[in-house]
Amino acid sequence: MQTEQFWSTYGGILLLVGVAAVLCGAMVTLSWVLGPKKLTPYKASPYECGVAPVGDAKERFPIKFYLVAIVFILFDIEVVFLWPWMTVFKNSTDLQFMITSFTSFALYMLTFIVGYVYVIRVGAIDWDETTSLEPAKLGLEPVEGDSNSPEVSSLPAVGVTA
Amino acid sequence: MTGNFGLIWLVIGMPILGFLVQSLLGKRIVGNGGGKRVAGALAVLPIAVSFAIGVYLTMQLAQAAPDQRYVVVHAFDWIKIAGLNIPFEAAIDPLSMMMTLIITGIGSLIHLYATGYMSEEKDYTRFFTYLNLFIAAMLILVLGNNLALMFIGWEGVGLCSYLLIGFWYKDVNNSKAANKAFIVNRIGDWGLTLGMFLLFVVMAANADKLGAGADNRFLSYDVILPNVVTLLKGMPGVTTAIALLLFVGACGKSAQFPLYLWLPDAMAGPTPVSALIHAATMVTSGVFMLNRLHFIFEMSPVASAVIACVGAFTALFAALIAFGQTDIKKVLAYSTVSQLGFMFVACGAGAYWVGMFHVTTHAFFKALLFLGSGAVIHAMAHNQDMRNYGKLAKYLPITCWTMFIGYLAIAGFPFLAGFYSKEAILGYALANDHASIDGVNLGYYAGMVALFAALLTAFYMTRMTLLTFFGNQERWRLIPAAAHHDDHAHDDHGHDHGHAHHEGHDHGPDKHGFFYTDEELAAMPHEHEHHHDLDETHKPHEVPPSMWFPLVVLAILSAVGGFVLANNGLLEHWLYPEGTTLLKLEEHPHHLPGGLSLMGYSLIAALGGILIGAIFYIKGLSAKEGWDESKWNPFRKLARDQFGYDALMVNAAVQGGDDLGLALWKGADAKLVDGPVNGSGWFAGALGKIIGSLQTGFVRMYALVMLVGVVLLLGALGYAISRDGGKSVTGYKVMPPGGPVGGPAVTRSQGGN
Amino acid sequence: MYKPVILPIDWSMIAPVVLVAMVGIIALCIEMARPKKNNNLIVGFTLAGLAVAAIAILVQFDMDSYRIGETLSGMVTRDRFSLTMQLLVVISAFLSVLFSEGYLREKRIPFGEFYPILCWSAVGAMVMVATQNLLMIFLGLEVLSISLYVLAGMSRSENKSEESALKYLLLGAFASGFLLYGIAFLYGGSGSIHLDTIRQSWAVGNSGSHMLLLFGLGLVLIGLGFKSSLVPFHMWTPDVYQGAPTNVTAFMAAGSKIGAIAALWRVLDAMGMMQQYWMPAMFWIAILTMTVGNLIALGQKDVKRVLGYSSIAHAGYILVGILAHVREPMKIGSDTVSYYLLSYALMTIGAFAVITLSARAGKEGTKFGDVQGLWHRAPLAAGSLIVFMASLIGIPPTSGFIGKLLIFKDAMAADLAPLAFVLAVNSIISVYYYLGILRSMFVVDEEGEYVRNSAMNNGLKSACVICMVGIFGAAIFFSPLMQLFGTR
Repeated sequence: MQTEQFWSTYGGILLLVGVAAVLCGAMVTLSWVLGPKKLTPYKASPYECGVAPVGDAKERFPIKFYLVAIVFILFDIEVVFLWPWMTVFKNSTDLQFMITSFTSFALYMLTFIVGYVYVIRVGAIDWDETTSLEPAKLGLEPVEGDSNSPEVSSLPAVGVTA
Repeated sequence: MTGNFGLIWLVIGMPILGFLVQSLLGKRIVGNGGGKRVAGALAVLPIAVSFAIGVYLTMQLAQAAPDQRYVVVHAFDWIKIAGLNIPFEAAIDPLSMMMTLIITGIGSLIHLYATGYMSEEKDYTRFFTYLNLFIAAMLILVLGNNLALMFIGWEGVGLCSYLLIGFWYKDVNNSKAANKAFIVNRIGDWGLTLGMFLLFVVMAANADKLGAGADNRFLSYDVILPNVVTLLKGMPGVTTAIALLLFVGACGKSAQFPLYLWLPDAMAGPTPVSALIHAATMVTSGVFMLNRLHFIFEMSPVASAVIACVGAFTALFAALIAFGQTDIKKVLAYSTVSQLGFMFVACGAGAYWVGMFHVTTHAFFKALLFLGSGAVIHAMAHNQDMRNYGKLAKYLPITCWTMFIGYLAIAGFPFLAGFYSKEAILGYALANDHASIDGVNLGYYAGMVALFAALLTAFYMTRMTLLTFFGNQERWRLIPAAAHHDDHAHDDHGHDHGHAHHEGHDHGPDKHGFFYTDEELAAMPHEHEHHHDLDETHKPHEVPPSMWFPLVVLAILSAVGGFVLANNGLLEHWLYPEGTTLLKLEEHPHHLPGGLSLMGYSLIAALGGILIGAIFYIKGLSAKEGWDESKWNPFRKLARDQFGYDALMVNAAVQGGDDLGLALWKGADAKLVDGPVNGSGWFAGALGKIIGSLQTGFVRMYALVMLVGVVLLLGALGYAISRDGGKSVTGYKVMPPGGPVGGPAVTRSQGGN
Repeated sequence: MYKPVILPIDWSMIAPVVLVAMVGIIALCIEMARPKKNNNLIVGFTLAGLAVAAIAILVQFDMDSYRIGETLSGMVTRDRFSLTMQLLVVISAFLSVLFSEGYLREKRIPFGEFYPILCWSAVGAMVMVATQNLLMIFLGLEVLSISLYVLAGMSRSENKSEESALKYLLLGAFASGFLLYGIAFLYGGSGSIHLDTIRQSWAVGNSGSHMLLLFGLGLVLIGLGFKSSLVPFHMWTPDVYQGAPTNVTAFMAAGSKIGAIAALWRVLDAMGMMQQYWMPAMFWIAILTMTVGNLIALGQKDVKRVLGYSSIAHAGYILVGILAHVREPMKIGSDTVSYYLLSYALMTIGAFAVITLSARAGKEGTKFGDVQGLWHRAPLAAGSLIVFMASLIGIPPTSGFIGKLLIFKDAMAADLAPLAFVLAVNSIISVYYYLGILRSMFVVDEEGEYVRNSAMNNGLKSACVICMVGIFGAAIFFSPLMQLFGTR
C-alpha cells in the first residue's frame, strides 16, 4: 500500500523528469550524430561576429582582483546584516535590548575592522606592486629586473630570520 | 582511626621530588656554582624529611589499639575494569612502617655518606638520581596496599639496582655484573608473578565470599589477609604452590641459594650502593614479602620446610665461600648472603617477626660494615684487596673502632644487636616443628646448620677485621710487583681528576722498574685512570666527617639496637600482637644434645669463632693465603671459585641458551614460522599496491572515487530501507530519549527550537 | 510594536570558544604591530591563551552528571563529551603551536599569521564538537576547513603545498555540499536541525519521513566521513598530509579529526534508532577504512604519507568504537572514543613534531632516506619517536595499547566480533610500516647523505616530552581519565 501511495504521489513528477532527460539527451545526441560538420577557421574562432580575438584567454592577471572581491563580499555581508538590525533598532524602545544588540553588533563590526586593518597592513589592496609584492612578505628574494614576474614561485626560498 | 595518615604520600613523594630535582636540575645546580655540596644536600634532604614524617606516622600508629593498626590510605583508582579493581593505596601498619623507617633512616645516613664518598665523581647527580629513585621505588614496594604496587616497587628497585651496579658502565665487567643481576632476578620475578596470578585466581574465584568492602580488590592486602585462611583451607596443594612460587621470587631478590650468584657481582657498584641496596634494604624485600603474606606460608609446612632448608644451606654455603675471598667487599657480600639465609631459617620456622628482627639488626651492622669498608677503600686509593691492608687501626681510628663494633655485632658477641636476633632465630628454629615434611622436622636440622654457620660467621669476620686493621705489618708497602696490577675490582672509573692520561705517555721504565711497550700500556686501561696508586709511599687518611658521622650513628645502633628491640618482646608485640598469627610457637628449645642451653651454644659459636679467627690471623696474613694464589690450600681455592657453582650456572645458561636459540631458529623459526609470515606480508604489500594505484594524484580521480563511494553508500542505505519500506519505528535497540548513557533527560537552560 | 526577546546566555558555556577566537584576533593584532622581527610574542601569547581556554573548559567538568545543559536556543550543548572533545582540540592546538615556530623558521616561512589562523581553526573544531545543532556542526566544519585550506597552502614557494591546499579545497567543497544537502533532508524529514528532536522524530515518523531521514543521514555521513577520512572518502588525506607544512599536518591529523569524529559520534548516536538500516553500510566502511589505510601504507616511501594512511586506519579503529557505542548505548559510553582520541592526538602530533626535524635551512625532504640518522642528530626526538610508534602500533604500556584494547573490548561486548578481528589483524599489519619509519631514523647508509646538524629547539623538545609523558600518563592513569571522560 505504501508503495502504491508513493507512486501515486510522486509518479507523475518522476515521469516528467524521465521524459525531460530522455528528450534532452536525444536531441543533443541526434543533432551531434546527424548534423553536418563543416569546420572553417571563421566558424572555429571564438567570436563568430567577426571580432578577432587578441591573446590567450588563459592569461594571468593580478591576484588582487580576487582579494578585492573577497573583501568586498565580506563587507557586503556585513551590510546585509546591518540593514535588518538597524530596522529593528530604530523602532525599539526597550533599553536593555538596545544596549545588548548595539554591543553585540559593535563587537561584530570590530572584528571586521580588525580584519580590514590587517588587509591594509599587508598591502592586499595596495595596487602599487613595488610595495605590495614585497619579497620579504612572500618569503622570497627580490627578482632581478622584473618585479611582477609571474614566475616568482620557482625561485629558491631564502629565510627571513633563522 | 584518626591521624594525618595522608602524609604517607609525602613520604613517597619526597624521594620522587628529589629524583626529579637531581635528574632535571642536577647538572645545572652543580654547574651553576652551587657545586656538588648543594646537589648533595638536595639529595639527602628529601630522604631525611621522609624519615621524619615516617617517625611521626609511626607514633600516630602506635597510639591506636593493637588490632586497629592497619590503615589504608586511598589515592585514586588506578586500574578499574569489570571484575578487577586495583586502587592506588598505601597500607600503614607496623610492618610497613618499620620497613619505611629502615629505608629512610638508613637511607638518609647512606646518602649523607655518599655525598662524601662520591665527591670526586663526575656523574655526581646521576648517582643521586638513581639513589633517590631507588628509595622511592623501595617505599612503594613496602607501602603499597596491593601486590600490583608491590610488584611495581619490586621491579623499580631491580631497575635501580641494575643502573647502580653498572654505574661505572665504561668498564665492561661492571656492565656484565649489572646484566647478571638483572637476568638472574628475572627468574625470581617469574616465580613471583606466577605466585601472584595463582593467588589472584583463588581470590577471584571466590569473589562472592570476600565480604563487604572487597569491591573486586583481589590483590589488596586488606582483602587478602582476612580471607586467605578460610579460602585456602582444604587446598594444601594450592597453598604450597603459591607459597613456593612466591618464595622463588624472594630467592631472586634476597639472593638465596640457587639464585644468589648475582649479589657478589653486584659489588661492582659504588660502595654506598652496596650498603644501601645490596645489604640493608632491597635484598630484604623477600623477607618483607614473606612477612606480608605470612598466613600463606604458615598454612604450608612443606613450603616452610623448603624455605628453612634453603635458608640454612645458603647461610652455610656463603659462609664457606667467604673464606676464599680477598676482596673486602666480596667478603661482606657473601656475609650478606649468609645472613639473609639466617632470616629465611627464621621465617621457615614460622617466626616471622624474628626474620624482621634480623632484617633490622642486619641493616644496622651490615650498613655499618659496608660503609666502613668504603671508608677503608677510600683511604687505600680504591684498592679493595685485604692482602694489601694491615695495621690500619693506626691511620683510621674512627673507621676501625666503629667497624669493630659492627664486627662484634655480626659475630654475635653478647649484648650487641646481632646476638639477640641470632639467638632468637636459632631458638625458634630448634624449638618448633612447623617446618616439617612427613614428620621429619627439617626446621630443627636447619637450626643446627645455622648454628654452625654462626660459628663460621664469627670466624671469617674475625679474619676480615684482623687482616684489615691489625696484624704486625703495613702490607701495602710490601706488595710484590707481580701482584700489583691483577686486581680488577677498582672502584674509581670516571673520576674527573685532571691528569688522567699523563702516565700513558711515559716511555721507559715505570716507577717499579718495569718497562712497558705501548701495546702493553694500551692493554692496561685501568692504570692510567688511577688518581694515585697504592704503593709503598701511600699514607692513609681518616675520612671526612660526612663519612664518619653515619658510621658513628650506625655503630651506636648496632650496639644497642638489639637490646632495645628485644626487651620485653617490644618488636614481637609491635609486629604481631596476640592472635595475629596462626601458629603457636615455642621461644626456647627444651633439650638440646649435650645438655647445654641454647645460650651456651650460641656463646660457644660466637666466642669460639672469634677465638679461632684470632689464632689464625692475629699476626696478619699467613703465606698460605698470600698474594701468590698457587700456594693456597685446595679448600680455599674452591671457596674462591664458589665451589664451581657460578661457572657452572653461567656456562649452562649462556652456552645452553645459545644452543637452544640456534636450534629454535634453524628448526622452528626459519621453517615453520617464517614461510607463512613472509608470504602473508608479501600478500598484504601486493594488495596495498593494487589499491594504492588508485592514488593517482589527480583531483578528478579522487572525486570520482568519492562519488563511487557516495553511490554505494546511498545505494546500500536505499536497499536496506526498501526491504521493509522504512516501516520500522524502533530499530532493534531502543535509544532512550534524552541522550546517551548515564545522562538524565535533556535539560535545556532555555527554550527549544 | 515589535517586542524583541533577549535570550539569556550562559557565558561560561561558550567562554572557551570565545576565548580562543579572541586569542586569534589579538594574536593577529600583535602580528600587525610587531612586523617581521620575530614571532616569539605571538607564540607566547597564543600558548598562554590556549592554556587559559583549557582551564576554562576544565572548570566546567561536573563529575556528578553527564549531561549539563544547552544554551543559545540549543545551539551549544554542554555535556561530558563536548567538554572532553573541546579539551582535546585545545590540547592539539597547543601542542601544534608549541613546536611550530622552530619549524617555520627552518622552513623559511615564519609568517605570524599562522598562529591566529590555527586558533580560528581550533575554534571551528570546538564549535563543532559542542553542539547538537546540525547547522552549528556545518558552521564549525567550515570555519575549521577554510582555515586549514589557508594553512595547507602556507608554504607558498612549494608546489606541493599549493597543490595540497587546492586539492583539499576542491574536495572539501565537494564534501561540504553533501553535508549541507543531507542537513536539508534531515530537516525535511523531521522539521528540526537539532539532533535530539531528530532522534525523537523517528519514533513518530512514517515511512516517507523515514526515507528522508535515512537519505539525509547518508549524505551527512559522506560529508563527515570525508573530514574524518573514512574510506572511500579518504583519497585526499595522504596528498594533503604530505604537501601541507608538517606542523599544519599535525593539527589537521589531530584537531580536525577530533572535530569530525565527535560530530560523527553525535550524528550516529542520534540516529541509533534507525541503525538497522545503516549499520551494515557503516560496518563495511569501518572494515574498509581499517584495511585500506594499512595496506596502502605498506608500500609508501614517504614518512608523512605513511602517517597519513595510518591516520586513515586509526579513523577506522575509532569508527569501530562509535559503532559499538551505538549498538549498545546503555552499556558502552563515549569514554572509549574520548580516550582513543586523546592518545591518538598525543602520538600523532608527537610523531609529526619529530618529523619537522627533517626541515633545515629552507629545504625539507620527508622520504625515508631523508630522515636517516635522526638518532645521531637529535636523540631525544628519535627516542620519543620510539614511544610514539610503539603507541601507534599499540604496544603496552602505552596509551595506544589501552585505547585499542578498550575498542576491542567494546566491539566484543557489542557483538561486533568481526570488526574486533579486523582491528587486531590490522594492528599486526601496521607494525611493519611503523617499524620502517623507526628503522630509517636509526639506520645510516654508508653512502646516504643526511642532514648532519640538528634543528632541535626548546619548543620541539617540550612538545616531544609532553606527548611522551602524556602517552605514558594516560596509560597509567587510565581509570581516573575514564571517569573524567564519562560514565559507562
